[in-house]
Amino acid sequence: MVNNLRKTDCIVTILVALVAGCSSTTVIDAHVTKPALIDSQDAVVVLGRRSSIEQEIERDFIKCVGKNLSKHAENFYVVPEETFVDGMYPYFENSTAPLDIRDLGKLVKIPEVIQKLQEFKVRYFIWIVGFTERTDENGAMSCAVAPGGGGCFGFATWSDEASYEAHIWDLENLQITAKVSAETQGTSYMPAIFVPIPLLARVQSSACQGMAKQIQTVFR
Amino acid sequence: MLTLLPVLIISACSNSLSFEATTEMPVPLATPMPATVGIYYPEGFSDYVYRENTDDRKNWDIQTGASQTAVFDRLLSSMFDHTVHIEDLNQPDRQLDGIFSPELVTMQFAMPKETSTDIYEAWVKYDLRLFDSTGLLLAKWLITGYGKTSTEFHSNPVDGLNHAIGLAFRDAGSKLLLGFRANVEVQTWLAATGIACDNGADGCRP
Repeated sequence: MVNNLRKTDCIVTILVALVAGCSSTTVIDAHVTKPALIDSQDAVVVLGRRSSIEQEIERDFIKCVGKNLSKHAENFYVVPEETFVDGMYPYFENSTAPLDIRDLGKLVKIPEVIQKLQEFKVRYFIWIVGFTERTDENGAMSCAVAPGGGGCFGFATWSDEASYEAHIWDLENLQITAKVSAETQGTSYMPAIFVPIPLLARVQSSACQGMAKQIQTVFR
Repeated sequence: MLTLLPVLIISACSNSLSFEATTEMPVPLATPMPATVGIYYPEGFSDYVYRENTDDRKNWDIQTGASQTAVFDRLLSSMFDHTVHIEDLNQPDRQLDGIFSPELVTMQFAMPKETSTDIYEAWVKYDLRLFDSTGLLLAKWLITGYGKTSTEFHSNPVDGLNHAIGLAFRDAGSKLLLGFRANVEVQTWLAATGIACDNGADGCRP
């Protein structure tokens, strides 16, 4: 009886430690040049910078930031990335999108471009660059299937790191309004005794929420 | 079921690939120029199939003809007021201001396992030619397009490669739209026909 209690205590302790251990830590850094003044008629667009050959910013991350901004934005509208890029074709493709404010300044001199931007009511551009990557992986797990059933045994652990930076451009004044960065690290665990129990650190999601929350504070 | 299983396993393990590329090209943000131009697709363009049969790429069969034809149709119709398809370049139509003819020079792909990355890649290169209404070659220039997409967003190679091809077409299209007027011979043709010239110049179309 005492033995059983000790075993239960031990398992509970391990699970609590794992759940606590799988949490992630996010560091947000923001540099605001000028508060972004926005009214209910204005819109912002969140765009992924995809000029790197090897790493590509996840579309899901851009959607996540846009969604989180929309959820809490009472005073502006967030234009979906795909709708914007398609509507502005060919000016916001990976190889043609403005790389800096000076490029944007040249772009808005084209009548078709400025007319379409006015249709979208875009006042601010939020350019995001970065990615999430697996930095470490350990442990082993094996699964087997037999006529009487099956199961998995083992323990696996992995660490993810997310690093993103957002630049907010003001279209009206043609200047950088703010820079926001989010860095998240987290370790996930997956113990398996017959059934794998994933205890996941939601690294990308934490970075997204942290970044969206910080961007939100830039707009007034 | 038991007989089907080995077939499924063999097809899953082989490198064969066969599909028709589908591309959704957005309507370009452009003001059409006041001109009527012909579009001539050379033989093998509209029904082009990329074929490869090597150890790494067994029975690859990627049909891109319909997609690339639709892409150029959309691009050129956004650039000019009127476009017509020309069946024979040797029987020119004098009503036309010019004739455009794209020719595929090369199409290349890279799979994630070939490059040890997690991206599908596609490259396209076209030789674009502009003829006058009598069939005389006026200008010739290359346009290239590149598309890449991560394995993270696609459940299978067909889906990944199809998306990369679509992005390569979009990229080539953006280079045509934005680089068109930079070509010196094209500028000469635009000015000579009065399609695009300095405001107020003699013979300039409204």
